[in-house]
Amino acid sequence: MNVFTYDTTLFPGELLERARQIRHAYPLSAYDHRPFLPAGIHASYREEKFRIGYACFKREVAHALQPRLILEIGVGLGISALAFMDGCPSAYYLGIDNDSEYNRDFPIRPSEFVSKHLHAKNYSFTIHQQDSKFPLKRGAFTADLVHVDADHSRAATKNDVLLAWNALTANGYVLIDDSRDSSVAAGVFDAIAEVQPGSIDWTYFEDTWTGSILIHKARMRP
Amino acid sequence: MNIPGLPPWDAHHFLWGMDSKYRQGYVRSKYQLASIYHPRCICEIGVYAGISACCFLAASPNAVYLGFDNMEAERNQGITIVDTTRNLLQSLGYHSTIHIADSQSLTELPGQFDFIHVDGCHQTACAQHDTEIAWRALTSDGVLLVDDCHNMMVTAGVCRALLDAGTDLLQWEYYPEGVGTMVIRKEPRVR
Repeated sequence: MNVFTYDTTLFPGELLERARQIRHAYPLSAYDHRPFLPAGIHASYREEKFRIGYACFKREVAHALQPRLILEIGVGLGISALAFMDGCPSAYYLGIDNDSEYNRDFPIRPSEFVSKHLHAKNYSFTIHQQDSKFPLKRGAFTADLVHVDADHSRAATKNDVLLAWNALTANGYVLIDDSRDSSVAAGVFDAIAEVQPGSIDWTYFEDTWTGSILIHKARMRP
Repeated sequence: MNIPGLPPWDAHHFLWGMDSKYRQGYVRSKYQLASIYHPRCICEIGVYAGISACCFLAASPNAVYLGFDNMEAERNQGITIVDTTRNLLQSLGYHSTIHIADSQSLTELPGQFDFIHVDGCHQTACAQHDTEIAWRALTSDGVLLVDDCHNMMVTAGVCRALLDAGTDLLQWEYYPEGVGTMVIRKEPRVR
């Protein structure tokens, strides 16, 4: 649907510059998540469109933002975890997953399966088997990038985005997957309107697998 | 980019009544979007000085345009502007009508439109209401534009309205130029 290219020079903020880098890089990226996929999952995870629109996109987000600590709410098959770490190998990865998809959508237990792959790559990480509806200890850590890719309901999304916002550094970013889903979009902006009711720098990557919203916590213009 | 009825593109911002950076993003994005979609039937909630109306109609001069404005902004500023806009659009030969009405008091828009621009009150409940009536009046191949989506109050209202519209495969985009425009297609994405 991307109908025209907007002018990023009028308000040359950090988010627009990072978004420009990401939009340019991910369709050209050679990153391939498929060697890390388990057997017995839906065939769409192996499609080229998924590789570019999901795995390469996530990789290039981390590469452009260069976060020191990545928090992910909803680890799943670890496709984004491994892509983020490929894009920024020096980062520390902290994942949260309640393993509820084990034996339902996935043939593997996310927390164990993804830990094994991250360990094999020698990345620095921790994965908590935990439900995001239970609050994280506030101030226990701060993340530069939080990826929300969990329960799609409006209430759960709002909870996860608020959790993400509180865990972010002042200059951090939150990336929300599945934003083509109107429940997810409503939950995202319910949360942000509550914590930051005025102007905010955000963008939307429509041409990714499921649509992704990227929000910058720092307020760059009034 | 000179648009009939508007000051020259490089005129001083006093003439435009709008900060140059916002105006450039606003005018360019509204004109380009209408150029791409070539609407036949345009509705706008929040007309004010008619800058977006002029952009839409310059891009699609044969379209029928219906605008709503409650004149609150001009009352607050002690100026006359909507009447001037009405006369301007007619003098340019466009098929245009402007109703003085508060969109919050409307339960529906009069007719079906393939291009609707919501640029009204910024409160979440108002944005939600405007988006709801706009969505219902949008043709199945139509496109909805919502201005001021850099403002989270507006964006929250838009997304709440679309939640009630019951689509889980939204085809939408966001253009952050100026004050941010969300562009949402009525037609859902093919799964």
